[in-house]
Amino acid sequence: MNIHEYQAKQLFKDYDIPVPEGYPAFDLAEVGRIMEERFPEGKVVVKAQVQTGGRGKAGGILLADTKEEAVTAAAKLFGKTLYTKQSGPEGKLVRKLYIEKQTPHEKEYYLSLLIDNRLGKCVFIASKEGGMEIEEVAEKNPEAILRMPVELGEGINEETALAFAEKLGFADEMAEDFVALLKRMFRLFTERDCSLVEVNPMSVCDGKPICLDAKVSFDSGALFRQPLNAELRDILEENPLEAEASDEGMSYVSLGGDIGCICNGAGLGMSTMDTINYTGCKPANFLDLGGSVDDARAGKAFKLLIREKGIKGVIINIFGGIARTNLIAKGITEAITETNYQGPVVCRIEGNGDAEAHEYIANCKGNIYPASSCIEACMKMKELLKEER
Amino acid sequence: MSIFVNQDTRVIVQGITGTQGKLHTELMLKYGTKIVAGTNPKKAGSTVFDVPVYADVKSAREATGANASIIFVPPAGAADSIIEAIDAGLDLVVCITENIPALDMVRVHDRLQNAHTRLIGPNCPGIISVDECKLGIMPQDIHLKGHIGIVSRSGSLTYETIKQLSKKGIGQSTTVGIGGDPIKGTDFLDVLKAFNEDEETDAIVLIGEIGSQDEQIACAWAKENMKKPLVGFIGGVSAPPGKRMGHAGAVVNGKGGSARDKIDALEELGVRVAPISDRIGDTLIEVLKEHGLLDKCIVK
Repeated sequence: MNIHEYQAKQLFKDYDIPVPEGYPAFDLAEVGRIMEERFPEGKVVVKAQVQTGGRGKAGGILLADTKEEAVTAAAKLFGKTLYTKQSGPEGKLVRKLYIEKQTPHEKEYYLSLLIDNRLGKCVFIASKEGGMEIEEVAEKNPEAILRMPVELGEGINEETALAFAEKLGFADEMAEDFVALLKRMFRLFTERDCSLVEVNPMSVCDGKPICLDAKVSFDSGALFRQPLNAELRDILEENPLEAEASDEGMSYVSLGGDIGCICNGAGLGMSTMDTINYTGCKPANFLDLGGSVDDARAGKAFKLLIREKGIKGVIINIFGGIARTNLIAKGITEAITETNYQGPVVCRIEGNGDAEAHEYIANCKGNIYPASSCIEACMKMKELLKEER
Repeated sequence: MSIFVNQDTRVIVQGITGTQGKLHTELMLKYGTKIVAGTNPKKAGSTVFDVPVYADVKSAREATGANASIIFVPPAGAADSIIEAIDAGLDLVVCITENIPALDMVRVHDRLQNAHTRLIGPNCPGIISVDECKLGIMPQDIHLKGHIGIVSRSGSLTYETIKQLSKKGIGQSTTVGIGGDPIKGTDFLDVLKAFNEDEETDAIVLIGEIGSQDEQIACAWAKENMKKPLVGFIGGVSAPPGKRMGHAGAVVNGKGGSARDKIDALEELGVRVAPISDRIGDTLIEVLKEHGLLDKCIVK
């Protein structure tokens, strides 16, 4: 689960991690007020608050030397859609800004803390080449990336951390301040169940480290014990169908194609969208109904899926081990009737309770067809859509 | 023989009194799994399907001589349950629970380093040695005893594969669901090593997906060391980067994590990869034929 920069910076402040003075603004009047009350001397950065990387390149970060410039910049950004490498073709609409004091600085560094799954440990990653994407650095100059694993039970080792600081070129007081920053970051990471804390760039101002950007992601598996994390969720940043599905206990991802699919199990979901792709068609989505699925959830899944833009037909691929396929078929066929859905629906349903499931399909009045395998279902769908054209 | 579990495996069900725990205890007992104890700190002294319930794993082990456990405890307490089983000195622990916080799994990972316990999972369907021991939630009527070992990150695709094989009369030795989480106990490499030494297993199906480079690491080892043919499948060819596809570990992040990268790497290492999941069975048959193993592997 991602949060905004302004929220991440508030967390940094809560943990005494140095950041420039800054305030979030939700409308133009607020920008004016912040400039008058907080930055009478001007000299600010106006930053679009959207949850995607590459905001700077996309024109989402503007410098302003006076109140007037700040308000003009804010007017430009509010309501603007930013297109970045990570934003997808639909872009990200700017609804919030962060007004931050300009920080004169020279060198830029990269610093992050995450869990290395292969090691099964928390690892700090740093580089002298900050300001650019770390993936780019990793590709062009992998030696420039420094790593420091930390034992969860023991915390940060002073000596190891000082050596890490030295490799980044920090000495004396600056090295000590940097190690203190690492310790605070580690405390934030573990106390709040983060999955990523990233600072790009970190810099040095008046001989002290300062975090010019801040990105924090939380472990969604730990939200049950982190009620404060859940409060920071901004639902407007999420794909509405994906958000709705996750609230219902399902996993949904929009893929932009025109053939929808409903499956039980993440593996079957992926292989179904891949099979649609294999037959030369384009999958509209990934959908895993999740564990302990019943007719109500299956029906909700169908109703949600047919709201996906440009969808022309739906493939159902269910293998019932413990899940009862008759309940899934009941929920889906009822949803077809209720919504009067006219597009083709091809169902491959096998396993626990499938005789009754096939009856539901046979008795459904919709444009519905049975299939005995996933590839057969995909080929059938392709043929049906061709006939329609 | 088989790997990790057999008819002598004596099992404790941790979380036996919950809905899932009860349901699967009944199904595993029906399959013939030797479930000798359950645990629930508040219900010690009671029974579930005549299985005695103890307060903790240590006392259950002392009373029954159990050597393995399966965990159906909700996410908040699941990591502590795994650690309890490690501390009690069990040989094998299967954790079914999904959505365990990542930092809890880091803690479990640390504890596993100096322990002799093998953890399978979490977020997995478990393990089955056909007709010997089912330590998991997989449907039971799809299996056929035979000579193919299966290892997979996905439950649903495993069932799909088993069904394809059994339909064609090709039996399985052991199937291991290693789970869809990024930090897990047993990985592909561990299972391939065990299958390599297992007399009953003649060929292996490896079912992977996007995220991590575990498939490549295991297959690189296999190229140098594996005495048996290996067939692969990788899910998520059409997954966009950065998006989590159901499983916590199924995210294309960085180099080597995409399905395309994995398929290319596996093929380069000499592993035949099925183009779609419906063809996993046929791809295996092709490879068995080439190795002169098909007749032996068709058991029905």
